[in-house]
Amino acid sequence: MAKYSLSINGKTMSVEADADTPLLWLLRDNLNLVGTKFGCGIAQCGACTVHLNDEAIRSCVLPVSAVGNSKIVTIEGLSETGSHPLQKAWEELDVSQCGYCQAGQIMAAAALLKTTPNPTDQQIDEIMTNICRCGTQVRIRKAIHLAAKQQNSK
Amino acid sequence: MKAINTRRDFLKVSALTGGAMLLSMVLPGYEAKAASTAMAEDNMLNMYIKIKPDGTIVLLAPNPEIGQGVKTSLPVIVAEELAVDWKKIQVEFSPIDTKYGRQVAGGSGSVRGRFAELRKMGAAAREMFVNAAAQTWNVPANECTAENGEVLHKSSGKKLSYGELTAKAATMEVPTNPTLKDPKDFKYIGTRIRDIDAHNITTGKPLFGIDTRRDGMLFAMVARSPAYGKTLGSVDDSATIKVTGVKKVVKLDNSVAVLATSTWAAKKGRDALKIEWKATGMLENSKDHFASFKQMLDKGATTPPARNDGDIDSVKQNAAKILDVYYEVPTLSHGQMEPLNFFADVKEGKAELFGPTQVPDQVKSEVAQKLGIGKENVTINIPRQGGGFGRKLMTDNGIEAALISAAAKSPVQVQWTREDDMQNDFYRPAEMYRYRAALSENELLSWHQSAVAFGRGVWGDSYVAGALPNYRAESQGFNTNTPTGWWRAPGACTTAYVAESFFDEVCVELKKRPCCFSVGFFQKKQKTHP
Repeated sequence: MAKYSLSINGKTMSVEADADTPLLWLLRDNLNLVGTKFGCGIAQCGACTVHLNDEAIRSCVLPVSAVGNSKIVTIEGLSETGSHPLQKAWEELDVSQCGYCQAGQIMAAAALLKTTPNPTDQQIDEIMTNICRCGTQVRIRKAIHLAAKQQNSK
Repeated sequence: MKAINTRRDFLKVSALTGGAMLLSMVLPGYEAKAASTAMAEDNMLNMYIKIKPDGTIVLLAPNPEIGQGVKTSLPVIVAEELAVDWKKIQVEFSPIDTKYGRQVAGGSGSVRGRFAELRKMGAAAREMFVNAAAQTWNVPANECTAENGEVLHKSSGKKLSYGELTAKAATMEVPTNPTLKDPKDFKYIGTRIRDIDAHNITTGKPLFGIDTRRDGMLFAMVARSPAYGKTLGSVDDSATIKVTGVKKVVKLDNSVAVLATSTWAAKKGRDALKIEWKATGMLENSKDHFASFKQMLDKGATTPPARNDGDIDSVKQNAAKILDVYYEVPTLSHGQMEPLNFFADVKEGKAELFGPTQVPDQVKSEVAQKLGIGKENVTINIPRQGGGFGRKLMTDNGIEAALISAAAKSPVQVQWTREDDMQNDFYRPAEMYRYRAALSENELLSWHQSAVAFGRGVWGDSYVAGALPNYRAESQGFNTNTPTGWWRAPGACTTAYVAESFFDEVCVELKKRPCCFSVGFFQKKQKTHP
């Protein structure tokens, strides 16, 4: 076990963990940030997506020892009250069905909007590789467009 | 479903301490679909509306939410008749108790099964508020109306909120036959209502079984048999107990659980176990299944066909063309997004359970039985669930967690990896079909469906049966030790796929557009078999 000091959602958090512990389990089990979800453990489904220095990464395969000084943002830190344009668009369009994958979807979309403020359908489809077993992809796409519109009109 | 009768105890009401009103409805039970043992419940139905002293209305959602929306839609039905402002409603899952009737997510039965009852419950409560207000103002009840959680006396302009009326309403006689709204006056039913958890989902709040965190809880992973037909032999846990965070190793009948202070430690500990799995039963391979299926199809069924109309054999003699096509439908895991998990705390002859299941009451019964304790000593509650698709009509994840907690004497959350989930499912059965059709130059003359499937085989009488004079369907069952279960629209998701595909192939041969051809074809079916 080793001690790690991590920057998560704008706060410095200290944890003790084995070097190989994936960031996902550290967030969920040590820090009680359970919004980030476990889906596959092999970076395929995207349920565990968080931001590492503003980039969307799959936290289930990122060992804590590789995090270093990088800034981590989870769904809990995307906004204080759920006011991020994507969160609002997700609610407005009632995107979620079971809801399990949606935190990861929103985090992936948030990273996309940072680099591509007005993505095309094609860009959305290329980036949004997160799996939704309920089949909400069509609404996810609509919600990203809506959020982009609202963000850009500010 | 039986008609609702007007029993005197149709609604029971009690004033709770602090002025909250608990309205419960007791209705006669009804037969669930006999097709599924998981659904074969025949219970009394019962449901609650809670009104807090501050006027907040809490509606209890009685059925498991697996993404089908019933944590929202069931309370909406109550809210509609209760005449409240949906935006001010809070929703909680109800406890799991037989008095709530069929608390099952399966067979698309939640809304259908509860619609009439929930309307009646909401309407009865509304009438009680109206009567309470009428008495308070000393005016006839029929001069009062209810809307948005308030009772209004139009001519005097008097108004009282449900919150203000709660204590008095609780003393009102319970209407046995409340007046329901005319559906044309529905405010919510038939409109798009946002998921009640939408905000909690988009902000990552703990909602799911996997999010359960309790004091003293250990995380567990389980080593299960790597193949059906293998059983647990020797177990060497010497490397496991050296893994940092591992607290306990527990042997069950045919698996080994590792309990640790984190999911990751439990996984590392589980992976460090050295287990000898003994081959004690038939070992199978999916590839072999299909080879066997093909042999069986080519040999033909030995049992009489499920349906045999006309004479497909003689039609074949005069056909311009025979189509002969095979379809394979693989064994399929459910792959719900949230890998299985369950929380259990078993101590002092009692068990507390919390986790994803489509059949909570069944988990409760089976846990009681496995632990050898009374059902009244088992409490189960349900979280929101990351998909179901039929996987959670099986109770193995809940029972396993209870057994591990009992053996380890610790509250435990058992977490399955995705691999565990895929390898230990109750799969959609593998099937293989041989379809043969005799065609004239421009007509389909006969249809011959031959199927092999895990277990008992498939239904024969479906789809084109009845639409053409020469039809035969036969089926053979295949003996396997691969566990099978319901997987979404069981049956239809495979038989419809193959039949539709073959129908399209027929159309290609006949140079007809499938949609146009099928319209005429099935109109004929309606005429022949109204």
